Amino acid sequence: MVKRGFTMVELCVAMGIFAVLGSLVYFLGFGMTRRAADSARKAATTSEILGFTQRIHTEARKAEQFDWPPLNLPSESMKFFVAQEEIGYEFQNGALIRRTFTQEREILKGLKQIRFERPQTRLLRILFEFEDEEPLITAVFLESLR
Amino acid sequence: MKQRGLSLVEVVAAVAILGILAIPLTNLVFTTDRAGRRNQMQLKARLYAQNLLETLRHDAAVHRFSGIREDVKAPAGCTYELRNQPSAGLHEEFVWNLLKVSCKENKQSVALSFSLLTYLKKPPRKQSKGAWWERRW
Repeated sequence: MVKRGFTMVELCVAMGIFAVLGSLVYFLGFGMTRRAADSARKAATTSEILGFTQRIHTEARKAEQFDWPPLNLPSESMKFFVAQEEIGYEFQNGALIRRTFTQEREILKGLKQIRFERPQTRLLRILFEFEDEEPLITAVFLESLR
Repeated sequence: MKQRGLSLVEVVAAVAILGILAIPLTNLVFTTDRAGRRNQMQLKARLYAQNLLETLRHDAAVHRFSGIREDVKAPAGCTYELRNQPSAGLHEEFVWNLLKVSCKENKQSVALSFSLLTYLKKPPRKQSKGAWWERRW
């Protein structure tokens, strides 16, 4: 007599194997895509932060007048003058915007928060807050400020 | 009687082949992830070093430098060290001439070194008085 169909045990084993293979494909495929996208996003933010800190070191160092933030008052924005040109930075809707008289440009995104603080008249501290990492702090010595 | 389905050996072989094919993929994921973490750690070390150096420059310019202030908080896993490298010479206000920042996390580490002499403005050189026969008496 020719047996047809599958037994319940065979079906269960087959389903178990498919479940294991399926979860493997899911974790490798979707997990990899998610992690790769996450890594790419973090790498972009890291490179943007480095670019921003280099720029701010060059710019703020030449600041002759610093209007905002005042002493010991952390703020999401800052405003200073370099060669009589007003330069402003403001954290708005998850992005850091740089404003001058002639242009407005988004220069940094992917952060939870940015805070500017002046613990002393000629010292500027910048705090970067991330969604899933600890905050990072840098400082700029405002050497042109009197 | 005709056999149906796959034998256990065949199933194990198929799973093993799939596993071997998956190794380069998982390796790629972990390599990308590790590179990302390393980048993040380098950023952390660089910003911490900038924070220390700029505060140090500020303190040296505004008042006499007496060490790194306590309000410069170190990120988790990061430390700094001020060293004296005898061959490098000394700034007149500083006992140390080298700042070393290192960060460690998950068996990975980043170390950055900065010469305080190149970072801080050197004091103007005292003009040589010249030899005794060139001096004005």
